[in-house]
Amino acid sequence: MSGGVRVLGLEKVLSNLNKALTESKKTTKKGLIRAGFFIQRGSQQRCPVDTSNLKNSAYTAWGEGSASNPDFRTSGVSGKTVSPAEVAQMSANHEAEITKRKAAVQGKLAVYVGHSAAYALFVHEDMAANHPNGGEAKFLERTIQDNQAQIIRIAMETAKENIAK
Amino acid sequence: MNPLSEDIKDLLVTAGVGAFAATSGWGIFINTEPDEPSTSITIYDLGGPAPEECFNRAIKPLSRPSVQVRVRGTSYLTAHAKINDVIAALRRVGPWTASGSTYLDLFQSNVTLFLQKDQKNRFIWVVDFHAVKKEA
Repeated sequence: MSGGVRVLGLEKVLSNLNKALTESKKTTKKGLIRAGFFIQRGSQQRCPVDTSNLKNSAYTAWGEGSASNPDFRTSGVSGKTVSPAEVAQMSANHEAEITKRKAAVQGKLAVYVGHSAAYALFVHEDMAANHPNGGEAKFLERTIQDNQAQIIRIAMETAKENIAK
Repeated sequence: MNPLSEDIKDLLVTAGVGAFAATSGWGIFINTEPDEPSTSITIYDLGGPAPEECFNRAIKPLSRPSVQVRVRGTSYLTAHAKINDVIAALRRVGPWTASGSTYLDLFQSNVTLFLQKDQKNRFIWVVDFHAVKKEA
């Protein structure tokens, strides 16, 4: 989506944000990337933690690069364990997803923010789940919803920096 | 003024999609999904963006609260059919008035998602809606 931030499944939440960023005509790639980092960090702070693999699967991707810290683990705070083979699969999926997202926004004024863990969508949408180690459902959606003004401001601030140089 | 979940529950009950807190058949619940009945519809309040204010303070703000409707059934297709009943009862139902507030419209926010089978092999589908509401 040109001139905006897109997260699959959250189009309604993002429509106002995309509209503001597109209409401003001041949105830069650098600004969108910084806004993406902000959303990624917020989503990581809100997402439920078990093995930390969901949290560590968060990424921001743009045409020329990406940012993530895919430190996938075989055990976590809850005592739940994951096999080394599953960890290897998560790493492979993470790389594949980022490659796909980068290609999708190549040459466009757009970034992708998301979580590569295969179960991310189901944790995100499961309002009935109990998360004893903290975190909540709708972690990505709420990060964007609660911070729309700040996300736009981050994109605009970067534009101002470029003008001042 | 009620949370959106309460007003959505009333719409679903009126449309005959289920009965509030029923212990058999399709029961409708708010914010907590009980273990029984196996056929249940649970509505969760999700919040929403900050209300839109006007410079004229006499004009009430517009808010956009949202809910998730979670349908649990004993078969994949039965639960899917029920969530389609929910959509038919709710989508673009406005304008209507409830608990002193005026709802201008109600929109489906995403497509239905099959979430999971629970530990008792019951099938769970979810869908979100957001309303445009003029506060009382």
